[in-house]
Amino acid sequence: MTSTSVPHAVPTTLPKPYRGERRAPWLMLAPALTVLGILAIAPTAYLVYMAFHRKNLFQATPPEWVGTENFSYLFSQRDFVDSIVKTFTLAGGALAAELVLGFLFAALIFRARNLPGMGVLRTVLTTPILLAPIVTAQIWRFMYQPQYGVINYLFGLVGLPQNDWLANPDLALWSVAFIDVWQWTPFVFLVVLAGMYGIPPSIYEAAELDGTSLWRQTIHLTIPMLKRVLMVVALLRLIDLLRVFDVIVGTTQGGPAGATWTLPIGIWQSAFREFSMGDAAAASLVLLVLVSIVITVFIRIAARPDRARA
Amino acid sequence: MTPRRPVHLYVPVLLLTAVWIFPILWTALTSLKPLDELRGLKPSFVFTPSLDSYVSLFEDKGFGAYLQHSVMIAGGATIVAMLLAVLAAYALTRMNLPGRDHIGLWILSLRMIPPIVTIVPFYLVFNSAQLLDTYIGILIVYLSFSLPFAIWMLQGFFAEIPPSLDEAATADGAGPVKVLFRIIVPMTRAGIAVTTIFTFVFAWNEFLFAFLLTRDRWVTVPVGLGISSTPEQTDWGYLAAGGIVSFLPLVIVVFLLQRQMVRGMTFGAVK
Repeated sequence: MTSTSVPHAVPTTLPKPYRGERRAPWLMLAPALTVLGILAIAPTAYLVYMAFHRKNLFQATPPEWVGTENFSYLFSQRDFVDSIVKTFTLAGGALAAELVLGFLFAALIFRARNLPGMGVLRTVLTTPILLAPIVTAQIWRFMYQPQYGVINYLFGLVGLPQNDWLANPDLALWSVAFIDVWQWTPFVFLVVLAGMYGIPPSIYEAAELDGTSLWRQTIHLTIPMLKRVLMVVALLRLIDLLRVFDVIVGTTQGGPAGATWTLPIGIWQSAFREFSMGDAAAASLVLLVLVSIVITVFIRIAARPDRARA
Repeated sequence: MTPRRPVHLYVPVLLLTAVWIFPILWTALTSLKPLDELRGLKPSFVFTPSLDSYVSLFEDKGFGAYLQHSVMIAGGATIVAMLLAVLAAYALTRMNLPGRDHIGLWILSLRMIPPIVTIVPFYLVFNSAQLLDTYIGILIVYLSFSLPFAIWMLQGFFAEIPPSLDEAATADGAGPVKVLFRIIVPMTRAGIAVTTIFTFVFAWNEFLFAFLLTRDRWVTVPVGLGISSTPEQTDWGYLAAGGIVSFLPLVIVVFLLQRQMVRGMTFGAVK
Protein backbone atom coordinates (compact mmCIF):
# COMPACT_ATOMS: atom_id res chain seq x y z
CA MET A 1 0.00 0.00 0.00
CA THR A 2 1.54 3.25 -1.00
CA SER A 3 -0.19 6.35 0.13
CA THR A 4 0.41 9.54 1.93
CA SER A 5 -0.80 11.46 4.89
CA VAL A 6 1.13 14.61 4.18
CA PRO A 7 1.46 16.00 0.70
CA HIS A 8 5.19 15.98 0.70
CA ALA A 9 5.26 12.24 0.51
CA VAL A 10 4.06 12.66 -3.08
CA PRO A 11 6.66 11.72 -5.72
CA THR A 12 8.89 14.66 -6.48
CA THR A 13 9.91 13.49 -9.91
CA LEU A 14 7.45 15.21 -12.15
CA PRO A 15 6.71 14.54 -15.76
CA LYS A 16 9.21 16.76 -17.52
CA PRO A 17 6.97 18.20 -20.24
CA TYR A 18 4.93 19.98 -17.56
CA ARG A 19 7.78 22.06 -16.31
CA GLY A 20 7.04 24.74 -18.85
CA GLU A 21 3.32 24.84 -18.08
CA ARG A 22 2.59 27.72 -15.78
CA ARG A 23 -1.10 28.46 -15.90
CA ALA A 24 -2.73 25.06 -16.15
CA PRO A 25 -2.04 23.92 -12.53
CA TRP A 26 -3.29 27.19 -11.13
CA LEU A 27 -6.43 27.07 -13.23
CA MET A 28 -7.12 23.57 -11.94
CA LEU A 29 -6.51 24.59 -8.34
CA ALA A 30 -8.37 27.87 -8.57
CA PRO A 31 -11.93 26.65 -7.96
CA ALA A 32 -10.99 24.61 -4.89
CA LEU A 33 -8.70 27.29 -3.48
CA THR A 34 -11.33 29.99 -3.99
CA VAL A 35 -13.99 27.97 -2.18
CA LEU A 36 -11.65 27.00 0.65
CA GLY A 37 -10.29 30.53 0.94
CA ILE A 38 -13.78 31.92 1.39
CA LEU A 39 -14.90 29.10 3.68
CA ALA A 40 -11.79 29.00 5.89
CA ILE A 41 -10.05 32.35 5.91
CA ALA A 42 -13.12 34.57 6.06
CA PRO A 43 -14.76 32.81 9.03
CA THR A 44 -11.47 32.72 10.94
CA ALA A 45 -10.89 36.44 10.38
CA TYR A 46 -14.47 37.20 11.39
CA LEU A 47 -14.05 34.98 14.46
CA VAL A 48 -11.02 36.96 15.61
CA TYR A 49 -12.94 40.21 15.06
CA MET A 50 -15.96 38.97 17.03
CA ALA A 51 -13.79 37.69 19.88
CA PHE A 52 -12.83 41.29 20.68
CA HIS A 53 -16.35 42.67 20.38
CA ARG A 54 -19.55 42.41 22.35
CA LYS A 55 -22.64 41.39 20.46
CA ASN A 56 -25.90 39.84 21.43
CA LEU A 57 -27.46 37.86 18.60
CA PHE A 58 -30.60 40.01 18.65
CA GLN A 59 -28.89 43.33 19.16
CA ALA A 60 -29.62 45.72 16.27
CA THR A 61 -26.61 47.97 16.85
CA PRO A 62 -23.20 46.99 15.45
CA PRO A 63 -20.83 44.96 17.63
CA GLU A 64 -18.99 47.09 20.14
CA TRP A 65 -15.21 46.90 20.69
CA VAL A 66 -14.36 45.57 24.16
CA GLY A 67 -10.69 44.64 23.78
CA THR A 68 -9.79 41.49 25.68
CA GLU A 69 -12.79 41.76 27.98
CA ASN A 70 -14.43 38.60 26.59
CA PHE A 71 -11.31 36.61 27.37
CA SER A 72 -10.86 37.99 30.88
CA TYR A 73 -14.53 37.29 31.54
CA LEU A 74 -14.22 33.69 30.30
CA PHE A 75 -11.08 32.93 32.28
CA SER A 76 -12.67 34.39 35.43
CA GLN A 77 -15.46 31.82 35.09
CA ARG A 78 -14.79 28.57 36.89
CA ASP A 79 -17.04 26.72 34.40
CA PHE A 80 -14.90 27.79 31.48
CA VAL A 81 -11.60 26.68 32.98
CA ASP A 82 -13.24 23.41 34.04
CA SER A 83 -14.57 22.91 30.52
CA ILE A 84 -11.01 23.00 29.15
CA VAL A 85 -9.97 20.36 31.68
CA LYS A 86 -12.99 18.21 30.79
CA THR A 87 -12.34 18.52 27.07
CA PHE A 88 -8.82 17.16 27.53
CA THR A 89 -9.86 14.52 30.08
CA LEU A 90 -12.46 13.18 27.66
CA ALA A 91 -10.04 13.26 24.73
CA GLY A 92 -7.12 11.73 26.64
CA GLY A 93 -9.17 8.98 28.26
CA ALA A 94 -10.96 7.97 25.09
CA LEU A 95 -7.75 8.15 23.04
CA ALA A 96 -5.89 5.82 25.43
CA ALA A 97 -8.78 3.33 25.46
CA GLU A 98 -9.18 3.39 21.68
CA LEU A 99 -5.47 2.81 21.08
CA VAL A 100 -5.19 -0.07 23.56
CA LEU A 101 -8.42 -1.78 22.49
CA GLY A 102 -7.82 -1.14 18.79
CA PHE A 103 -4.35 -2.67 19.09
CA LEU A 104 -5.65 -5.72 20.95
CA PHE A 105 -8.45 -6.28 18.43
CA ALA A 106 -5.98 -5.99 15.56
CA ALA A 107 -3.53 -8.39 17.23
CA LEU A 108 -6.33 -10.95 17.67
CA ILE A 109 -7.73 -10.68 14.15
CA PHE A 110 -4.21 -10.68 12.70
CA ARG A 111 -3.43 -13.99 14.40
CA ALA A 112 -6.68 -15.40 13.05
CA ARG A 113 -6.19 -13.90 9.57
CA ASN A 114 -5.96 -17.21 7.71
CA LEU A 115 -9.30 -18.49 8.94
CA PRO A 116 -12.15 -18.47 6.43
CA GLY A 117 -14.67 -15.67 6.94
CA MET A 118 -12.24 -13.29 8.64
CA GLY A 119 -12.71 -10.64 5.96
CA VAL A 120 -16.45 -10.51 6.58
CA LEU A 121 -15.99 -10.45 10.36
CA ARG A 122 -13.52 -7.60 10.02
CA THR A 123 -16.05 -5.60 8.04
CA VAL A 124 -18.83 -6.42 10.52
CA LEU A 125 -16.62 -5.22 13.35
CA THR A 126 -16.04 -1.89 11.61
CA THR A 127 -19.69 -1.05 10.91
CA PRO A 128 -20.01 1.26 13.97
CA ILE A 129 -17.84 3.76 12.05
CA LEU A 130 -20.70 4.24 9.59
CA LEU A 131 -23.28 5.30 12.16
CA ALA A 132 -24.00 9.00 12.50
CA PRO A 133 -22.51 9.99 15.89
CA ILE A 134 -25.82 11.58 16.88
CA VAL A 135 -27.54 8.23 16.23
CA THR A 136 -24.83 6.44 18.20
CA ALA A 137 -25.57 8.82 21.06
CA GLN A 138 -29.28 7.91 20.97
CA ILE A 139 -28.52 4.18 20.86
CA TRP A 140 -26.36 4.46 23.96
CA ARG A 141 -28.78 6.75 25.76
CA PHE A 142 -31.34 3.98 25.27
CA MET A 143 -28.98 1.29 26.54
CA TYR A 144 -27.78 3.43 29.47
CA GLN A 145 -31.37 4.00 30.73
CA PRO A 146 -31.39 3.27 34.47
CA GLN A 147 -34.76 1.45 34.69
CA TYR A 148 -35.31 -0.32 31.37
CA GLY A 149 -31.88 -0.01 29.72
CA VAL A 150 -30.29 -3.22 28.54
CA ILE A 151 -26.93 -2.50 30.20
CA ASN A 152 -28.33 -2.41 33.71
CA TYR A 153 -30.49 -5.42 32.86
CA LEU A 154 -27.50 -7.50 31.72
CA PHE A 155 -25.33 -6.21 34.59
CA GLY A 156 -28.08 -7.30 36.98
CA LEU A 157 -28.14 -10.79 35.49
CA VAL A 158 -24.43 -11.34 36.06
CA GLY A 159 -24.28 -9.48 39.37
CA LEU A 160 -22.40 -6.37 38.24
CA PRO A 161 -23.27 -3.03 39.88
CA GLN A 162 -26.06 -1.12 38.13
CA ASN A 163 -25.90 2.62 37.74
CA ASP A 164 -27.56 5.67 36.28
CA TRP A 165 -24.76 6.00 33.74
CA LEU A 166 -25.57 9.40 32.29
CA ALA A 167 -27.11 11.04 35.37
CA ASN A 168 -24.34 10.26 37.83
CA PRO A 169 -21.95 13.26 37.81
CA ASP A 170 -18.97 11.05 38.71
CA LEU A 171 -19.60 8.72 35.79
CA ALA A 172 -21.22 10.78 33.03
CA LEU A 173 -18.02 12.00 31.36
CA TRP A 174 -16.70 8.44 31.16
CA SER A 175 -20.04 7.09 29.96
CA VAL A 176 -19.96 9.67 27.17
CA ALA A 177 -16.29 8.93 26.44
CA PHE A 178 -17.13 5.25 26.13
CA ILE A 179 -19.66 6.00 23.39
CA ASP A 180 -16.82 7.45 21.32
CA VAL A 181 -14.59 4.52 22.26
CA TRP A 182 -17.24 2.12 21.03
CA GLN A 183 -17.73 3.91 17.73
CA TRP A 184 -14.07 4.60 16.86
CA THR A 185 -12.04 1.72 18.32
CA PRO A 186 -12.94 -0.19 15.12
CA PHE A 187 -11.25 2.56 13.11
CA VAL A 188 -8.04 2.26 15.15
CA PHE A 189 -8.32 -1.51 14.81
CA LEU A 190 -8.62 -1.34 11.04
CA VAL A 191 -5.65 0.98 10.60
CA VAL A 192 -3.43 -0.98 13.01
CA LEU A 193 -4.44 -4.24 11.32
CA ALA A 194 -3.41 -2.84 7.94
CA GLY A 195 -0.12 -1.80 9.54
CA MET A 196 0.43 -5.33 10.86
CA TYR A 197 0.06 -6.72 7.35
CA GLY A 198 2.90 -4.43 6.35
CA ILE A 199 5.40 -5.88 8.85
CA PRO A 200 7.75 -8.34 7.10
CA PRO A 201 7.02 -11.86 8.50
CA SER A 202 10.75 -12.68 8.47
CA ILE A 203 11.22 -10.46 11.54
CA TYR A 204 8.96 -12.74 13.56
CA GLU A 205 10.52 -15.89 12.21
CA ALA A 206 13.87 -14.90 13.70
CA ALA A 207 12.20 -14.10 17.02
CA GLU A 208 10.36 -17.45 16.99
CA LEU A 209 13.65 -19.27 16.47
CA ASP A 210 15.13 -17.47 19.46
CA GLY A 211 12.09 -18.52 21.49
CA THR A 212 11.07 -14.92 22.23
CA SER A 213 7.75 -14.81 24.07
CA LEU A 214 4.65 -13.33 22.45
CA TRP A 215 4.68 -10.51 25.00
CA ARG A 216 8.29 -9.58 24.21
CA GLN A 217 7.64 -9.84 20.47
CA THR A 218 4.78 -7.39 20.86
CA ILE A 219 6.77 -4.90 22.95
CA HIS A 220 10.06 -5.10 21.08
CA LEU A 221 8.96 -5.84 17.52
CA THR A 222 5.33 -5.12 16.75
CA ILE A 223 4.90 -1.81 18.56
CA PRO A 224 8.16 -0.25 17.31
CA MET A 225 7.37 -1.40 13.76
CA LEU A 226 3.91 0.14 14.02
CA LYS A 227 5.10 3.37 15.56
CA ARG A 228 4.33 5.57 12.57
CA VAL A 229 0.92 3.97 12.03
CA LEU A 230 0.04 4.34 15.73
CA MET A 231 1.13 7.97 15.75
CA VAL A 232 -0.93 8.86 12.68
CA VAL A 233 -4.04 7.09 13.91
CA ALA A 234 -3.63 8.68 17.35
CA LEU A 235 -3.39 12.10 15.72
CA LEU A 236 -6.51 11.50 13.62
CA ARG A 237 -8.43 10.40 16.71
CA LEU A 238 -7.13 13.29 18.82
CA ILE A 239 -8.32 15.82 16.24
CA ASP A 240 -11.81 14.29 16.39
CA LEU A 241 -11.84 13.86 20.16
CA LEU A 242 -11.12 17.51 20.87
CA ARG A 243 -14.25 18.45 18.91
CA VAL A 244 -16.72 15.87 20.28
CA PHE A 245 -20.13 17.51 20.13
CA ASP A 246 -22.84 15.29 18.68
CA VAL A 247 -22.46 12.56 21.29
CA ILE A 248 -22.82 15.02 24.18
CA VAL A 249 -25.73 16.90 22.61
CA GLY A 250 -27.44 13.54 22.04
CA THR A 251 -27.01 12.39 25.62
CA THR A 252 -26.28 14.78 28.51
CA GLN A 253 -26.07 18.19 26.80
CA GLY A 254 -23.34 19.18 29.27
CA GLY A 255 -25.01 17.86 32.41
CA PRO A 256 -25.44 16.42 34.98
CA ALA A 257 -24.18 19.29 37.13
CA GLY A 258 -21.78 20.29 34.35
CA ALA A 259 -20.04 16.91 34.36
CA THR A 260 -19.87 16.77 30.55
CA TRP A 261 -19.62 20.53 29.98
CA THR A 262 -16.74 20.58 27.48
CA LEU A 263 -15.48 23.53 25.41
CA PRO A 264 -17.57 22.76 22.31
CA ILE A 265 -20.69 22.46 24.48
CA GLY A 266 -19.83 25.74 26.22
CA ILE A 267 -19.42 27.52 22.87
CA TRP A 268 -22.77 26.19 21.70
CA GLN A 269 -24.47 27.27 24.92
CA SER A 270 -22.98 30.80 24.89
CA ALA A 271 -23.93 31.31 21.25
CA PHE A 272 -27.36 29.69 21.11
CA ARG A 273 -28.69 29.77 24.67
CA GLU A 274 -27.23 33.04 25.94
CA PHE A 275 -26.85 34.58 22.47
CA SER A 276 -23.59 36.28 23.48
CA MET A 277 -21.72 35.88 20.23
CA GLY A 278 -18.63 37.71 21.49
CA ASP A 279 -18.10 35.25 24.35
CA ALA A 280 -18.76 32.33 22.03
CA ALA A 281 -16.24 33.68 19.51
CA ALA A 282 -13.62 34.19 22.23
CA ALA A 283 -14.16 30.63 23.51
CA SER A 284 -13.97 29.33 19.92
CA LEU A 285 -10.65 31.10 19.47
CA VAL A 286 -9.34 29.55 22.68
CA LEU A 287 -10.38 26.11 21.40
CA LEU A 288 -8.76 26.75 18.02
CA VAL A 289 -5.49 27.83 19.63
CA LEU A 290 -5.48 24.87 22.04
CA VAL A 291 -6.17 22.40 19.23
CA SER A 292 -3.37 23.93 17.13
CA ILE A 293 -0.91 23.74 20.03
CA VAL A 294 -1.79 20.15 20.86
CA ILE A 295 -1.54 19.04 17.24
CA THR A 296 1.76 20.86 16.68
CA VAL A 297 3.29 19.40 19.83
CA PHE A 298 1.99 15.97 18.91
CA ILE A 299 3.49 16.13 15.42
CA ARG A 300 6.83 17.36 16.83
CA ILE A 301 6.99 14.47 19.29
CA ALA A 302 5.90 11.97 16.67
CA ALA A 303 8.52 13.16 14.19
CA ARG A 304 11.44 13.26 16.63
CA PRO A 305 12.51 9.56 16.80
CA ASP A 306 12.48 9.35 13.01
CA ARG A 307 14.97 12.16 12.79
CA ALA A 308 17.19 10.48 15.39
CA ARG A 309 17.17 7.27 13.39
CA ALA A 310 18.13 8.99 10.15
CA MET B 1 3.91 -24.71 3.30
CA THR B 2 0.30 -24.11 4.23
CA PRO B 3 -0.09 -21.90 7.27
CA ARG B 4 -1.47 -23.70 10.30
CA ARG B 5 -5.04 -22.65 10.89
CA PRO B 6 -5.63 -21.59 14.46
CA VAL B 7 -9.27 -22.71 14.49
CA HIS B 8 -9.61 -22.15 18.25
CA LEU B 9 -9.31 -18.40 17.58
CA TYR B 10 -12.84 -18.43 16.17
CA VAL B 11 -14.11 -18.37 19.75
CA PRO B 12 -12.58 -15.04 20.87
CA VAL B 13 -13.05 -13.43 17.44
CA LEU B 14 -16.75 -14.29 17.23
CA LEU B 15 -17.29 -13.33 20.85
CA LEU B 16 -15.58 -9.97 20.37
CA THR B 17 -17.53 -9.21 17.19
CA ALA B 18 -20.84 -10.17 18.80
CA VAL B 19 -20.22 -8.10 21.93
CA TRP B 20 -18.97 -5.09 20.00
CA ILE B 21 -21.82 -4.88 17.55
CA PHE B 22 -24.44 -5.75 20.16
CA PRO B 23 -25.62 -2.09 20.30
CA ILE B 24 -26.42 -2.24 16.58
CA LEU B 25 -28.21 -5.57 16.93
CA TRP B 26 -30.11 -4.22 19.91
CA THR B 27 -31.19 -1.20 17.86
CA ALA B 28 -32.33 -3.43 15.00
CA LEU B 29 -34.26 -5.56 17.49
CA THR B 30 -35.83 -2.48 19.10
CA SER B 31 -36.89 -1.15 15.70
CA LEU B 32 -38.85 -4.37 15.10
CA LYS B 33 -40.72 -4.37 18.39
CA PRO B 34 -44.48 -3.87 18.34
CA LEU B 35 -45.50 -0.64 20.06
CA ASP B 36 -46.79 -2.33 23.23
CA GLU B 37 -43.47 -4.16 23.71
CA LEU B 38 -41.64 -0.82 23.55
CA ARG B 39 -43.59 0.45 26.53
CA GLY B 40 -42.42 -2.43 28.68
CA LEU B 41 -40.22 -1.49 31.60
CA LYS B 42 -37.87 -4.40 31.13
CA PRO B 43 -35.85 -5.14 28.01
CA SER B 44 -37.46 -8.01 26.10
CA PHE B 45 -35.66 -10.37 23.76
CA VAL B 46 -38.55 -12.48 22.48
CA PHE B 47 -41.53 -10.93 20.70
CA THR B 48 -43.43 -11.07 17.44
CA PRO B 49 -41.60 -8.74 15.07
CA SER B 50 -43.58 -5.88 13.65
CA LEU B 51 -42.94 -3.04 11.26
CA ASP B 52 -45.02 -0.58 13.33
CA SER B 53 -42.06 1.70 14.00
CA TYR B 54 -41.05 1.83 10.32
CA VAL B 55 -44.60 2.54 9.20
CA SER B 56 -44.98 5.30 11.77
CA LEU B 57 -41.58 6.69 10.78
CA PHE B 58 -42.83 7.55 7.31
CA GLU B 59 -46.54 8.03 7.98
CA ASP B 60 -46.54 10.07 11.20
CA LYS B 61 -43.08 11.52 11.57
CA GLY B 62 -42.40 12.77 8.05
CA PHE B 63 -39.10 10.92 7.89
CA GLY B 64 -39.36 10.76 4.09
CA ALA B 65 -38.80 14.51 3.89
CA TYR B 66 -35.68 14.26 6.08
CA LEU B 67 -34.33 11.53 3.83
CA GLN B 68 -34.97 13.66 0.78
CA HIS B 69 -33.16 16.64 2.36
CA SER B 70 -30.22 14.49 3.39
CA VAL B 71 -29.89 12.97 -0.08
CA MET B 72 -29.97 16.42 -1.67
CA ILE B 73 -27.54 18.02 0.77
CA ALA B 74 -25.04 15.17 1.16
CA GLY B 75 -25.34 14.24 -2.52
CA GLY B 76 -24.98 17.83 -3.72
CA ALA B 77 -22.00 18.54 -1.47
CA THR B 78 -20.33 15.30 -2.56
CA ILE B 79 -20.76 16.00 -6.28
CA VAL B 80 -19.43 19.57 -6.05
CA ALA B 81 -16.57 18.56 -3.73
CA MET B 82 -15.51 15.69 -5.99
CA LEU B 83 -15.50 17.83 -9.14
CA LEU B 84 -13.30 20.49 -7.52
CA ALA B 85 -11.17 17.93 -5.68
CA VAL B 86 -10.28 15.89 -8.78
CA LEU B 87 -8.87 19.01 -10.45
CA ALA B 88 -7.12 20.25 -7.31
CA ALA B 89 -5.65 16.87 -6.35
CA TYR B 90 -4.31 16.43 -9.87
CA ALA B 91 -2.58 19.81 -9.82
CA LEU B 92 -1.21 19.14 -6.33
CA THR B 93 0.17 15.68 -7.01
CA ARG B 94 1.29 15.67 -10.60
CA MET B 95 2.01 19.13 -11.87
CA ASN B 96 4.96 21.41 -11.40
CA LEU B 97 3.57 24.00 -9.08
CA PRO B 98 5.59 26.42 -6.97
CA GLY B 99 4.59 26.16 -3.30
CA ARG B 100 2.76 22.88 -3.92
CA ASP B 101 3.67 21.38 -0.55
CA HIS B 102 2.56 24.48 1.30
CA ILE B 103 -0.80 24.53 -0.41
CA GLY B 104 -1.22 20.83 0.30
CA LEU B 105 -0.37 21.28 3.97
CA TRP B 106 -2.69 24.25 4.24
CA ILE B 107 -5.59 22.21 2.83
CA LEU B 108 -4.71 19.40 5.25
CA SER B 109 -4.63 21.83 8.17
CA LEU B 110 -8.20 22.90 7.37
CA ARG B 111 -9.33 19.44 8.43
CA MET B 112 -8.08 20.19 11.93
CA ILE B 113 -10.36 23.15 12.58
CA PRO B 114 -13.20 21.98 14.83
CA PRO B 115 -16.55 22.78 13.15
CA ILE B 116 -17.87 24.36 16.35
CA VAL B 117 -15.18 27.04 15.95
CA THR B 118 -16.62 28.23 12.64
CA ILE B 119 -20.25 28.09 13.72
CA VAL B 120 -20.39 31.62 15.19
CA PRO B 121 -19.04 33.35 12.05
CA PHE B 122 -21.14 31.17 9.74
CA TYR B 123 -24.26 31.78 11.78
CA LEU B 124 -23.82 35.56 11.91
CA VAL B 125 -23.03 35.86 8.20
CA PHE B 126 -25.85 33.51 7.21
CA ASN B 127 -28.20 35.37 9.49
CA SER B 128 -27.57 38.70 7.79
CA ALA B 129 -27.34 37.20 4.28
CA GLN B 130 -30.66 35.33 4.67
CA LEU B 131 -28.86 32.00 4.13
CA LEU B 132 -30.09 30.24 7.28
CA ASP B 133 -32.26 27.23 6.49
CA THR B 134 -31.55 27.44 2.75
CA TYR B 135 -30.23 24.71 0.46
CA ILE B 136 -27.44 26.82 -0.97
CA GLY B 137 -26.32 27.91 2.51
CA ILE B 138 -26.01 24.44 3.96
CA LEU B 139 -24.38 23.17 0.76
CA ILE B 140 -21.67 25.86 0.97
CA VAL B 141 -20.93 25.02 4.60
CA TYR B 142 -20.72 21.31 3.83
CA LEU B 143 -18.02 22.04 1.27
CA SER B 144 -15.86 23.43 4.08
CA PHE B 145 -15.24 19.89 5.34
CA SER B 146 -16.07 17.75 2.27
CA LEU B 147 -13.62 19.48 -0.05
CA PRO B 148 -10.42 19.28 2.08
CA PHE B 149 -11.24 15.66 2.88
CA ALA B 150 -11.80 14.71 -0.77
CA ILE B 151 -8.63 16.47 -1.93
CA TRP B 152 -6.57 14.81 0.81
CA MET B 153 -7.82 11.33 -0.04
CA LEU B 154 -7.57 11.72 -3.82
CA GLN B 155 -3.99 12.96 -3.58
CA GLY B 156 -2.97 9.60 -2.15
CA PHE B 157 -4.70 7.65 -4.92
CA PHE B 158 -3.33 9.88 -7.69
CA ALA B 159 0.20 9.63 -6.34
CA GLU B 160 0.12 5.86 -6.89
CA ILE B 161 -0.05 6.16 -10.68
CA PRO B 162 3.46 6.12 -12.17
CA PRO B 163 4.34 9.54 -13.64
CA SER B 164 5.76 7.85 -16.74
CA LEU B 165 2.18 7.29 -17.92
CA ASP B 166 1.34 10.96 -18.12
CA GLU B 167 4.76 11.69 -19.59
CA ALA B 168 4.01 9.37 -22.46
CA ALA B 169 0.60 10.93 -23.03
CA THR B 170 1.98 14.44 -22.83
CA ALA B 171 4.69 13.53 -25.31
CA ASP B 172 1.87 12.50 -27.64
CA GLY B 173 0.53 16.02 -27.36
CA ALA B 174 -2.23 15.57 -24.74
CA GLY B 175 -2.93 18.60 -22.51
CA PRO B 176 -3.25 18.34 -18.71
CA VAL B 177 -7.06 18.15 -18.78
CA LYS B 178 -6.98 15.36 -21.31
CA VAL B 179 -4.32 13.47 -19.32
CA LEU B 180 -6.39 13.81 -16.18
CA PHE B 181 -9.68 12.60 -17.62
CA ARG B 182 -8.31 10.06 -20.12
CA ILE B 183 -5.58 8.48 -17.97
CA ILE B 184 -5.62 9.37 -14.30
CA VAL B 185 -9.35 9.26 -13.66
CA PRO B 186 -9.94 5.91 -15.41
CA MET B 187 -6.94 4.39 -13.63
CA THR B 188 -8.02 5.54 -10.17
CA ARG B 189 -11.69 4.61 -10.57
CA ALA B 190 -11.71 2.51 -7.39
CA GLY B 191 -10.01 5.27 -5.41
CA ILE B 192 -12.42 7.87 -6.73
CA ALA B 193 -15.35 5.62 -5.80
CA VAL B 194 -14.05 5.13 -2.26
CA THR B 195 -13.37 8.86 -1.86
CA THR B 196 -16.87 9.65 -3.12
CA ILE B 197 -18.43 7.19 -0.68
CA PHE B 198 -16.51 8.51 2.33
CA THR B 199 -17.19 12.13 1.43
CA PHE B 200 -20.86 11.20 1.17
CA VAL B 201 -20.87 9.27 4.47
CA PHE B 202 -19.38 12.21 6.39
CA ALA B 203 -21.88 14.63 4.87
CA TRP B 204 -24.75 12.18 5.42
CA ASN B 205 -23.87 11.79 9.11
CA GLU B 206 -23.09 15.46 9.77
CA PHE B 207 -25.07 16.91 12.63
CA LEU B 208 -23.59 20.15 14.02
CA PHE B 209 -23.94 22.43 10.97
CA ALA B 210 -27.32 21.04 9.96
CA PHE B 211 -28.57 21.35 13.55
CA LEU B 212 -27.51 24.99 13.97
CA LEU B 213 -27.88 26.38 10.45
CA THR B 214 -31.24 24.91 9.43
CA ARG B 215 -34.71 25.16 10.97
CA ASP B 216 -37.76 23.51 9.43
CA ARG B 217 -37.25 23.57 5.69
CA TRP B 218 -33.99 21.61 5.53
CA VAL B 219 -34.10 19.23 8.48
CA THR B 220 -31.76 16.33 7.70
CA VAL B 221 -31.92 12.75 8.98
CA PRO B 222 -29.35 13.26 11.80
CA VAL B 223 -31.14 16.42 12.96
CA GLY B 224 -34.53 14.72 12.77
CA LEU B 225 -33.23 11.90 14.95
CA GLY B 226 -31.12 14.08 17.20
CA ILE B 227 -33.63 16.61 18.41
CA SER B 228 -36.85 14.64 18.32
CA SER B 229 -36.86 13.81 21.99
CA THR B 230 -36.47 15.23 25.45
CA PRO B 231 -34.91 13.20 28.25
CA GLU B 232 -38.39 12.63 29.72
CA GLN B 233 -40.18 11.72 26.53
CA THR B 234 -38.41 9.56 23.98
CA ASP B 235 -39.94 7.49 21.21
CA TRP B 236 -37.35 4.72 21.08
CA GLY B 237 -39.11 2.88 18.28
CA TYR B 238 -38.82 5.95 16.08
CA LEU B 239 -35.14 6.51 16.95
CA ALA B 240 -34.26 2.85 16.39
CA ALA B 241 -36.11 2.56 13.06
CA GLY B 242 -34.78 5.91 11.86
CA GLY B 243 -31.24 4.97 12.87
CA ILE B 244 -31.47 1.69 10.97
CA VAL B 245 -32.92 3.38 7.86
CA SER B 246 -30.08 5.93 7.81
CA PHE B 247 -27.40 3.31 8.48
CA LEU B 248 -28.43 0.32 6.35
CA PRO B 249 -27.73 1.81 2.89
CA LEU B 250 -24.17 2.71 3.98
CA VAL B 251 -23.57 -0.79 5.34
CA ILE B 252 -24.76 -2.38 2.11
CA VAL B 253 -22.44 -0.23 0.00
CA VAL B 254 -19.49 -0.95 2.29
CA PHE B 255 -20.08 -4.70 2.10
CA LEU B 256 -20.30 -4.58 -1.68
CA LEU B 257 -17.00 -2.72 -1.91
CA GLN B 258 -15.28 -4.33 1.10
CA ARG B 259 -11.75 -4.52 -0.24
CA GLN B 260 -11.52 -1.02 -1.63
CA MET B 261 -13.21 0.46 1.45
CA VAL B 262 -10.68 -1.01 3.84
CA ARG B 263 -7.94 0.49 1.73
CA GLY B 264 -9.70 3.82 1.78
CA MET B 265 -10.27 3.82 5.53
CA THR B 266 -6.71 2.94 6.41
CA PHE B 267 -5.38 5.41 3.91
CA GLY B 268 -2.76 7.83 4.98
CA ALA B 269 -1.89 6.03 8.16
CA VAL B 270 -0.39 2.97 6.53
CA LYS B 271 2.33 2.88 3.97
